[in-house]
Amino acid sequence: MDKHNRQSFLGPNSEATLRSSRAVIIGLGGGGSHIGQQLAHVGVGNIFLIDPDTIDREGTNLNRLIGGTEKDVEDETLKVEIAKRLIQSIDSRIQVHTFDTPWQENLQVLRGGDVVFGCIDGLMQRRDIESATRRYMIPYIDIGMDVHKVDSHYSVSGQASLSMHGQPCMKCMGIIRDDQLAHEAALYGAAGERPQVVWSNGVLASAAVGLFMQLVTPWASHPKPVTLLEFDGNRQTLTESRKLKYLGQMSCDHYAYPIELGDPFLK
Amino acid sequence: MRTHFKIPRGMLDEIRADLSRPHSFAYERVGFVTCKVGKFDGEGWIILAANYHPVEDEDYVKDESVGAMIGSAAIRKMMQRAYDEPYSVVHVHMHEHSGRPSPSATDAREMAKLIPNFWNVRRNFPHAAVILSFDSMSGTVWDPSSKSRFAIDDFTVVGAPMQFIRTEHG
Ligand SMILES: [Zn+2]
Repeated sequence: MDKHNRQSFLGPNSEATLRSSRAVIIGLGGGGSHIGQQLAHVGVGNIFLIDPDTIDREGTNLNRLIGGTEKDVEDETLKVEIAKRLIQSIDSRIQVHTFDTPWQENLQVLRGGDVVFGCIDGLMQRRDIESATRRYMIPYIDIGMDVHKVDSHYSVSGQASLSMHGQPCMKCMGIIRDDQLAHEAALYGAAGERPQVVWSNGVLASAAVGLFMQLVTPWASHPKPVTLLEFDGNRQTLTESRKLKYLGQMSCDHYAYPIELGDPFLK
Repeated sequence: MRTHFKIPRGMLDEIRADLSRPHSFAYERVGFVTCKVGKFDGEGWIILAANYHPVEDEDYVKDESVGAMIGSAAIRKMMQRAYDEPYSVVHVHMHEHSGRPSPSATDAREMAKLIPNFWNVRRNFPHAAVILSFDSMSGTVWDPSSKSRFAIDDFTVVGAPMQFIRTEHG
């Protein structure tokens, strides 16, 4: 039986479509490592992994880094190498390309992608990735998670979003706010290490892969060009944001088309 | 050289609808898309559709030998647009069938005459001709550095869902 037989409902050519598709994952930590694993299982043929970090020497990444081992901690293995090993152990036909430098140094890699996944902390960087992908009409799927202390308890929340050319952006969606950007800028761009847990990352990563599958395979009848799924980690729910109702009717004025398309220096 | 043409789904729907309208004497309609461009590492272009410009009814001329003959006014208007703002110019027309279209001998001859004109106003940009069908497309790009033409390798219709049309390289 074909490995992908149980995915046959995705559509007649979906296996070939997935096999020829190019997915870029920025950030191979708790969220990105989950996404890499799932893209391998669904059979995405070309995966580009970008992350300059190694697994941390204290081993604190092991509680959430999918594919990470004690040996990796000893060796301080690059996160992109851990993800590559995991992906190719699932499907050796997948072409995996790794880049152990910041994403800003790999803009050519972004440009060649069909879809970009962003799984990093820091709103300034996420805003910049969104801007770089919209410039080349590449759908950007972002996941983010946060833990807040509320009185004596903790509140775990997060979201998975899809931002596309000509559609409402992450500022429109309220994921990126100017006051938070200013706060981050005051800290010289240091977003700080955000607390993360493997099960919440798993929910958000699955949501992100679900958005990707709706975009590239024809199984869902009416996929939305803009999506915001809100995760409530205390209630264990993932809900379509109520903001989408009005977002569907508004046009984004944070990006000016067509001026902000392509390479601005080409004349 | 690798060339990738991307177009938003809404614009593509609008173009197909526009090109399907009958004209009083031309057998078929044509249009132009002004595009922004980016480069791939090494050689290659990413051509990003920005605006669609239908050819106006009065800008067609009578010519029995070809389906759609457009007059110099239509070409001049497009040259002006590419002069005013850094744009790549893509000629579009449609073949009325499903599946991957291929250029007729007339298409190839007429485009080889027309497209290089846009280098007069935007000489560092690629310019192209794209043929649509009901559900697919194909195209040719004129590369400014080699002054040669190449088949466009990849097409992406940007929307939900996405559509990818790729040329397989062995
Ligand atoms: Zn916006």
